[in-house]
Amino acid sequence: MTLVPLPPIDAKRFNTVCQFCIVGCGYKVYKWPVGRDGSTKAAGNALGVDYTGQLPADAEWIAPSMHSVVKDSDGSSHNVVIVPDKACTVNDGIASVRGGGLAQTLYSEERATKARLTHPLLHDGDKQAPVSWDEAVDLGARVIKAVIDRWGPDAVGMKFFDHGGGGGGFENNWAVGRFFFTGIGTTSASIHNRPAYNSEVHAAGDAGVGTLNNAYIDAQLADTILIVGANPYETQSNYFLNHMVPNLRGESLPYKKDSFGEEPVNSGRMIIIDPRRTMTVSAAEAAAGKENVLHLQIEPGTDIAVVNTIARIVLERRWHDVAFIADRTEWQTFESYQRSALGAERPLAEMIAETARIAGISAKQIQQAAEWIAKPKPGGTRRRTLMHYEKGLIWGLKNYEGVASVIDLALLTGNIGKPGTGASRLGGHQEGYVRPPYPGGRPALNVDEKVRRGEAKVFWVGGCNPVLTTLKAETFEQSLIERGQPVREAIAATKGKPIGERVAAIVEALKQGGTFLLAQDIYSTATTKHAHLVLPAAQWGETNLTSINGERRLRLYQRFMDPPGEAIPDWKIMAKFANRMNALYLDDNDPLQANKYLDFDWKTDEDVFIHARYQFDGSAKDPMEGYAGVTYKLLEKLGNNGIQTPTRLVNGTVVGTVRMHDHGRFGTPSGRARFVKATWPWPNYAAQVERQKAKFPFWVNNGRVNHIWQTQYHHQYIPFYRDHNPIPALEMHADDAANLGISSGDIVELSNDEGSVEAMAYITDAVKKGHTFMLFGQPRGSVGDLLSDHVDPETTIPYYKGAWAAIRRVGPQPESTKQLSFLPRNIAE
Amino acid sequence: MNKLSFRSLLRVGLFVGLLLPSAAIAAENLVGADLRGKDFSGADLQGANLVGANLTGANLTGANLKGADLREAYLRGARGVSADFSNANLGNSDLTRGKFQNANFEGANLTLATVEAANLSGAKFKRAFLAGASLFKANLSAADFESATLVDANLTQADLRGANLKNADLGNRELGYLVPAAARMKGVDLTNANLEGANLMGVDLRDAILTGANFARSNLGHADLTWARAAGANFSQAKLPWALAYGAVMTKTNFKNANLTSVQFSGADLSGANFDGANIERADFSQSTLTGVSATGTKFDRVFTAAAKNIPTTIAGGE
Repeated sequence: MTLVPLPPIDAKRFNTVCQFCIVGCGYKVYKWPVGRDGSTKAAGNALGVDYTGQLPADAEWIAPSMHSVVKDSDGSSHNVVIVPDKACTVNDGIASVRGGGLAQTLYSEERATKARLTHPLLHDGDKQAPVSWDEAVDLGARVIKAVIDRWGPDAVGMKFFDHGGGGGGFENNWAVGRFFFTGIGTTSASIHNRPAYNSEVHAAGDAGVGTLNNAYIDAQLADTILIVGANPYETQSNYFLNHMVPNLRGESLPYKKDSFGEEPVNSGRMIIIDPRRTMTVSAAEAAAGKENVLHLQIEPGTDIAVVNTIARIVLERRWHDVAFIADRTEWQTFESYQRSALGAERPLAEMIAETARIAGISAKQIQQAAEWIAKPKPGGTRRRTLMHYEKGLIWGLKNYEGVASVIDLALLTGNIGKPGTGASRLGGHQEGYVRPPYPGGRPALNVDEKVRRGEAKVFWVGGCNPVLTTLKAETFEQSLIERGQPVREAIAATKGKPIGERVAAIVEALKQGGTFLLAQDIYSTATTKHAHLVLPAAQWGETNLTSINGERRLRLYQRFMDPPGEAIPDWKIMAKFANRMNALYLDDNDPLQANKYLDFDWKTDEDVFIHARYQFDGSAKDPMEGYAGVTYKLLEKLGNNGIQTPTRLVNGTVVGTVRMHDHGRFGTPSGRARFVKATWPWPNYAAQVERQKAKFPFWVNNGRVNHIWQTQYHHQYIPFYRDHNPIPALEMHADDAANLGISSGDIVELSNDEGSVEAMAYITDAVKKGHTFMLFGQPRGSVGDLLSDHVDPETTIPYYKGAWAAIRRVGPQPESTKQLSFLPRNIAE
Repeated sequence: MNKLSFRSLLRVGLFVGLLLPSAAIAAENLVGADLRGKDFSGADLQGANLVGANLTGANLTGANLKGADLREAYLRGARGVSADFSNANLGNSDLTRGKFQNANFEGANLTLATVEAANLSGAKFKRAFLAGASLFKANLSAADFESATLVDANLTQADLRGANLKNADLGNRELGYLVPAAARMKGVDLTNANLEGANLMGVDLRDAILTGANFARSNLGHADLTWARAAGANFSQAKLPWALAYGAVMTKTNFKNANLTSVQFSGADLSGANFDGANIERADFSQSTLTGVSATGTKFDRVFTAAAKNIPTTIAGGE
């Protein structure tokens, strides 16, 4: 039995929010010196719980996964436990499988997390060797300056942050944006694992609809919840379990009655549009009964058609919200929406039949979805439908039209801004990621292409791993290797030489087609291993951070331990480089350039917060990002419930916004929402996707699972998580597997003209015949290797869900993985 | 009189105390007649057809306009103190800056009428229809709107001190309905007004003065009371689910047995308020002042009280 020490009464207490998914569950942190544990008596431990006997079912307890021993920079050892916060309205004391292991992500010499990057590293030709911060910053800044002076600011490329709340936060993102946009002024910017600097939901912005407009509590009040291309049980676990499930079970009925008075209310229903029978489908059926869950198991690329056809039925039945459309939307856009997206001039029956055929679902299912979404309730009151979408739509065939189709359906049915409604993305990482304005235009520049072509002389990657996850990933990595080689040689050849000589040699290498790669991260990754300069960053818990969750809840994630070695927060790294750039340009008698790097003299993380806060007032441009009046002190007082943005000052008090568009005003110049382009019929696949689809038999869908976050940058160091999927999982239909002689556990190879990747087969009924589903971002192999370079021309968003490949068995299940289970995951009782 | 047509009398302009049989008036075609500045004080114009008539600046003091048809009539700056408009049709009429103190509009139709900055102090609007009417900055003090319909009316900055709005309909039909069917009441003065049983669902009462007003049994679901001043107001048994009361001054306010589900009281001053028997499930009291609050028998599941001052022990465990 593993014994977990209890925090003593005088243990230090901190508030924090889970560093992983967008839901942002609240957690409490207790820290105390090793050897000064609390007792099992209620009066003897900080939790105030009596552990001498059997605990009640809902009592607070500390699982072994919630404890770690850490060492501060003064050498002192401390116990840290991180437990879910019962007072937090997001999770009400529930931990997800990810959040329950937060303590294991902490740097500890006793755990595998000791693999953290602890010192700046310079590639000396043979290996990456430690250098001082001053050396690293001086060399990096001089190379960047030389590149700007010779090739202009756009020759400096960047790709930043994929790590969610802990990897970014408001402060770090602001600092990064200040450096690259205000300072350098480059348009060669990209975010996350994507090739460009862009919104994933331009369509919502163009409609004037906030990206995250509902409150989580709306999931308890909705009559119907529509989920398009998302799997909230696994990827927004506690939003699903703590807010959607009580509604599906009817447990929130008293709350509905208290909220809506005479309006008829019932247990919630759920519609899920997804090609896969996900865990969300089975969990929803278990909670609501199969008769209250409608799963439209569609073919890839048909979601826009399905949503538009549902909208057309709503219009034909006159279930649309006439008054809302007249008073709250720009009528001209409604006219064009009816003609283009809803095909109002086509016979309805023809439209339904065509959609049913291409989507592989029945006409009756489409009709039923329309009824559940918009058929008025007894007495004529409007149905309250909460609409959510995520990567299935965002990374689908056409990013812009996909998002537009859901936003338009919400406008058509008046389902925005009221209790129990909303039209929001479910989200991946947490938000609050704001920066100064991007100097480029729209559609944003494809930086990956620029890197491959060698036009980015400097490429700076921070907190993400494009070698694993970007499009055409094999080619991308090859490019970094080939273009990095002359730079490595230049650094090696100038070892011990004056800095000017070294920079000159690097510039010479860049002239020959080389690329100077800086990588900033908390661990070594597939990308950092190719870097010339590696910069160690602090992680969540090692610096104060602020971030907002999927209902715009802004909170302070308090620092409770020191970063390892010489790692520092990202904002400090950016400030170091900015200050050095300023000095270099002043030495060069170029005050105009030097002045671009002013105001990086932040002393604390709150300095960055306050500096950034003044730039955002919740205006139409950044409607979620109004942080008026908020200070760290206020956030400390508000704890893990924080405050929902945008904030404003009323009678001297900072107050929040529970639900966006509450007063029916939208983020357009007219204040009215716009129906946006969700074209019907839609254009076909891009040529390179069409070729791949015609040539290769299996569609390779991909996504996350609940126990693993993103690229496993933490979880590959934690046995519980790593050992669930030591090899990338590939779900296959039993008939397809039988035809190819594949059994569960076999190693298979997926290949197409872009590249190949190996995975472990999982035979399941979750996917249709001809469909497969691969784990996203697994460090040992990713679907990125199979993707063409196609992006939505409107938005530069990739079609990550659009890979087709051949599959063959390459070997049996490795002996080392014999502990794995291949029982179906999508079963709930 | 028989030989003297009404229209010819109009030219003479002498109508003081004129008693015209309603049949004679009804026979006259006064549609669109130019009656600017005429003196009808004490006249009997019962049932008159004055559709589109221009009565700008006319004197209707004490006149009898019962059942008159005044649709789209111009009554700008007209005087109608104690006039009787009961059951008259004033749809789309314009009464801007008129003086109609103590006039009787019982059962009248004022749908979409413009009554801006008019003085209607003490006027009676019992069961009147004022849907979509604009009463911006109107003086409605001590007026009687019992059971009147005021949906979509604009009462912004209107003076409703001591008015009676008992069982009046000013609100939406559905909670949180975004279409502005609710009356606009931003900055309205309802000091000591009676709104017992009124439908105020979704009304905009931001910055309103509600001191001493009676909202007992009224429906204020999803209403916006941000920064309203409601000291001593009575909300007993009222329904306020999802109302916004950010920064409101609600000292000694009575919320006894009220439904306050998910009300946003953030930053509000609730000193001395009475929450006995109220339902405050999921209400947000963060940064509010709760000094001397009474909360006996209050239903307080998941109440938020972070950074609130003087949280009573009866609800302290709710967070």
